[in-house]
Amino acid sequence: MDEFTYILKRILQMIPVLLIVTLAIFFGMRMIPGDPALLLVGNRASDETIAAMRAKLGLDQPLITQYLLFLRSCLTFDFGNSLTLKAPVTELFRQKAVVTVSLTLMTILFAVLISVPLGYYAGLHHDQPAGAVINSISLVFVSVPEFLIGLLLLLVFALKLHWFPVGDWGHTLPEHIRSLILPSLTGALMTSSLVMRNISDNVVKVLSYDYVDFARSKGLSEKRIRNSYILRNVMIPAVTLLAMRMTYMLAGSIVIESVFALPGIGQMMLNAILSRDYSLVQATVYLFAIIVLVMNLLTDISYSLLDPRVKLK
Amino acid sequence: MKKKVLSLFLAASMTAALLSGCGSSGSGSAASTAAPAAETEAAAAGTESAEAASTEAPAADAAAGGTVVIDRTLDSEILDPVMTANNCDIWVLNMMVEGLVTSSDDGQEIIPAVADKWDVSDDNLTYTFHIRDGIKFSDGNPVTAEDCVYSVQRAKDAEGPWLGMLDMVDTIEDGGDGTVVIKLKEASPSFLSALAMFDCGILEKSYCEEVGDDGLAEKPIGTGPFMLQEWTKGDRMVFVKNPYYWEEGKPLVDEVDFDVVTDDNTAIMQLESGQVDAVSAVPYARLAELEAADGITVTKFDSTDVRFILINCQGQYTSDKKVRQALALATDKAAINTAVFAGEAQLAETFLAPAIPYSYQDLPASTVDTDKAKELLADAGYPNGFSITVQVGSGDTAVLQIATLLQQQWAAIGVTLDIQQIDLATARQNWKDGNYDVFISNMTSDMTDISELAGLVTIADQAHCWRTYWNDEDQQKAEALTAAGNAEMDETKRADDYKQMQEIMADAVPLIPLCYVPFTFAASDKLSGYSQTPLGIYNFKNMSKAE
Repeated sequence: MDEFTYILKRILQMIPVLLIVTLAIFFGMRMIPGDPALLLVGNRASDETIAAMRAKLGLDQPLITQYLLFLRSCLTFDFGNSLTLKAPVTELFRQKAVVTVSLTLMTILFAVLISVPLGYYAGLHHDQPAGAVINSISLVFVSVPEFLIGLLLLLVFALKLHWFPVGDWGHTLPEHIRSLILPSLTGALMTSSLVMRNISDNVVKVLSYDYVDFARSKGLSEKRIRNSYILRNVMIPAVTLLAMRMTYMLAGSIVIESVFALPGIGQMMLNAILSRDYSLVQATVYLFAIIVLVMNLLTDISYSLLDPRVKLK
Repeated sequence: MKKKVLSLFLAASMTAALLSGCGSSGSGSAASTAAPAAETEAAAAGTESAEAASTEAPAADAAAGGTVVIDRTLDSEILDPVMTANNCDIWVLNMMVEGLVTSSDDGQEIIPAVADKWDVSDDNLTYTFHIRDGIKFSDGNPVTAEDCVYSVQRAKDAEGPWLGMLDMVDTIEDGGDGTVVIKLKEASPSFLSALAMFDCGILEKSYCEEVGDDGLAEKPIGTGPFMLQEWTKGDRMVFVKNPYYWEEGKPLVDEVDFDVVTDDNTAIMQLESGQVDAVSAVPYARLAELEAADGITVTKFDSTDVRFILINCQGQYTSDKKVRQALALATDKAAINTAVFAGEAQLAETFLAPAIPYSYQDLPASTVDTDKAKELLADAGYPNGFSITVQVGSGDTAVLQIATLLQQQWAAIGVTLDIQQIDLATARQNWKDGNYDVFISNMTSDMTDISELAGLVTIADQAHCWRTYWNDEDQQKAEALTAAGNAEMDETKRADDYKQMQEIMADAVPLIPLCYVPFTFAASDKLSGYSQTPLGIYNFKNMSKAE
């Protein structure tokens, strides 16, 4: 019951946050110079044509009216048509979000698969060469830029070996999944380096705690000690880190999407901002704010599951 | 407790679903020849590797047919012919929509399209266009005079970027017997060229009224060789053959796909791997390497694309003609061509590219002369130079490179150029408002006539002389010459008007022309028959793909 009230409370708390987000994005977009009408009709249009276009787009109305219209669309989730692309914003968002969300989830999956075993192993063997090697390699991947790793992976696994397409999103589900492997791996290398170091450091720390010694002295099996005593304690900060990286990636990794020619949110957002497509930018930011808030809530809930001492109140 | 732990990884389990998918597809991809068989239809879109494409070839029609996939860096946005000024839109519009007349591949002539012939009255005021017998829209409906009148009238009236291009037109009427009669207010040498522009494309009236402006922006229906079948914004456009196209046997291929690949390196790798058939707008620095590659042909199409530096003629220092001349004398165009365009461009003395009729290419070649430039600056009262700013759209590497070179070149005469990198939309807004010193820009022509660009840069009312706010005696002379040329029916006299206008511009320097850059197109050797007109328009109706 406590949990239920907690979650409800958290959901209610989202409302003021979202309101601030709408204010920031609406007025932020309008404060930067650049006129969508001018960008739409092009440089050679006369001032009258630009004014006519502004009227057509509804940009001649008072700002407060425009803001209230935006708020209404936030409640109904009907954001109308994009100023520049003329297509329904919700549909555009859905198309691109599928790509970005799948990319993020697969990246996180790869990151977990790489970082948990390696980080754990490196922590247990921190005073041996194996641990040092793993830690050094992780440093390399933190420092090499993503686009370089991406291009190298493309060069080897797509162009030379033909295992994967050279970028592209494909048209069927198996194609989509195949297209996502290299970009996810690219994103995962950086993330898992961070997480790996975090896990490995924490393993070293936990190993020195009394409760581990105590568990050993009780005669518990090494496997039990590892799973129930070490790993679980190590996972809490790792989950926090992964959740942060996930939110970051959801905003659209423009570098990875660009190198792998994936039609995700990042590229669409960049173009929308450059062309001052107010409706598209506002709706995308708003919808992503919701996704991020939900992700944060899920992360907090996961703490209480990982650690019985954390209560949801 | 276990249950809880499981549910904790809720998000992770979603990815697990993806993982099981990867497993199976991973093994499938190893045997890449087996995979496409199950999805012949989808494979036509060209995402499969080169070998895969050839295995499915026998199923397709013999010589003709096939799907051609072309990469480009930007997607189209608005396909309503009268509402777009964006090259990505314009260049594909002519695949779907044709005008009564159109421009030839070399951009020098007006040739028949929806109208197969036309008569001109002796006073050059009445044009009668005969609609081609049996011509149909891509949805199978016949083209009527009503459709043509509607489309041209719409182009004339639309409050879009092209308002004013058809100002010479008085009335557009159905002349009966499948003719369209257009009467002009005054004789105009550029009328046919204006009518050949994409904004005058013939659209189906009933369809336009049914779908409205936004619907048209998503999918126009015309008489062009192709029709838009599918469009995922920001990702991919699929054009298929128009079965009703009036030219027997054309187009040759069944489908042309435009894929958006923003990263040049990735696009080139896709071409090298055979995943795509062509890449449009290849960076100049990569041309030499691609020319040397096996199985790839690089084409440099003549274009009307000119790169230039606009100078604010109302600026604190640059309002003085001597200052502008000094900047021009200090500009080393050849160095810019080598460094920025890998030497692939042609140096420019006039802002009108050779592919534009009446471009005057016999202006004396400019030379770098810092001594004379310093003298001019001293005469103007700035013996120690001054400091000006150029705003560069962030991410626009070519413009940034030009700005950096100019910074060095102009430093030689004491002019300090500050480079500000800001968001492109802001930079453009500042330029439009006349809130700049110099601005590096480019321009392509949209018609097979000089009048559009000549008007933009010399006629104050049109765009404040392309926002140079040039406004002095020279400008008035140039404007008068352009106006005379735009109305002159005699070709020799017309050429002379424009020649004098270009000479005045070379002397008054409201802008410094840098170079003309070609349109680049890298394609697999299997492709042939493609072209891009100097206006940038893709002509793919004669394109074929060998197996």
